[in-house]
Amino acid sequence: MKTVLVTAGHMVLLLVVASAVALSTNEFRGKKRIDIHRDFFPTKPPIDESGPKPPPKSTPDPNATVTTPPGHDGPSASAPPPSPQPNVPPPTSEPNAPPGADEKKFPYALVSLEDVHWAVESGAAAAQSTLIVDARADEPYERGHVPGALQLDYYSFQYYLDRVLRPAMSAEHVFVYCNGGDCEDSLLACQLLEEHGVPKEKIRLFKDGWEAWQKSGYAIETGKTPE
Amino acid sequence: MNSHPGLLARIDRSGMPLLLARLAVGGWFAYLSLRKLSNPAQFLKDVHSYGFFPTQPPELLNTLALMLPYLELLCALVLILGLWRRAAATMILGMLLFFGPLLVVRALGIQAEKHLPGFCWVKFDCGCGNGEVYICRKLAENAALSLGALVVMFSRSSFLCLGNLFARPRAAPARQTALSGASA
Repeated sequence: MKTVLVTAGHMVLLLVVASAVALSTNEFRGKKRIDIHRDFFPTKPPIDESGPKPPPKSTPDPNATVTTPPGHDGPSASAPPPSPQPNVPPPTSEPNAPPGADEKKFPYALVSLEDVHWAVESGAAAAQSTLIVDARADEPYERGHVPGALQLDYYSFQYYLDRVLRPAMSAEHVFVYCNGGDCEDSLLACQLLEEHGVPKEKIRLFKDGWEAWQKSGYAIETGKTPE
Repeated sequence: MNSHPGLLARIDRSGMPLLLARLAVGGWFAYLSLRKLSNPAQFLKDVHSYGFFPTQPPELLNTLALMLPYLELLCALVLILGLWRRAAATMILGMLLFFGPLLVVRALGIQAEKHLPGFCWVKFDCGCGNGEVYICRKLAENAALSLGALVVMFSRSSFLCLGNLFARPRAAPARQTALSGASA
């Protein structure tokens, strides 16, 4: 009995010491600090039952100058998108089809791998008329990211937000991605951008993410975000 | 008193099972906890991904995710040193038994979602500190660690335990005291 009590007492002490060390050292961890009071996983906003509208279709208008991605009829993909027509990527779903399961599940319009590739190849990303945001942490970002993508680590966003917010406000579209698969950081980053004033209509979710980009064999960029 | 201890008792008395269990379990937990501590945000995400812990209030999940790797590291160090070994082993066993079923449930979910042919085909990052692992290998590892923790908890040896330095010397048995008193 005495042994049990002594053991229980030691266990309580271990818990108390571990908690004290965890909370005190957390304050000195810089970018890796976890804000205890921050709700990192907010309840997602209710989804409109009709589903979010897919991006507007680039209907063939003989009077308008429309830039389309490679593989479609249109001007050369290497030419920068002309103004004043918005540089709108083609929809990821049939315009007349009812919203699919993906569109209903995600509260932001989706973009495909081809849309992101077109934004990079057409120079839209370099010109920041389409801003690409990488919602992953430092190490995976520096190992490789979509060319021109700015980093916005959702878990320590205060170190990255200033660098991303201004171009996001001035860009026509903001594509956000993370790893892909069941990674939800890109969705959380979209919500963060919206909370900080980026209009929802601009924000597009590249849900297939980095895994899809890497598998595709497209060019990658390495290193930190340029200052 | 049993004057002919069994085989297991004799092996235990040598102190080697206790020492090996302490070093193996403590060393492995120390390694995993340091990997978790190197990326606290990832561990927070991993804990949240189980869907078991409430996200409100956020302080609960955040504190748990912060504290757990430190608790593991502290228990590992204490175990290796042989100080409070039973408490440390009990904590470690408790964590293994608590997260084990959560691992299984999560793996079953992944198997159903990805339509994998067998349970052992499931591979995912369980948040344990060593990246993506096959579930069966992880469960076998956990079983071995649990066995090691049990050895530490129930071993009667105190071979190379730092706790010996702080143990009170035991009083001599009453019979010997009476005998020494008679011969004086």
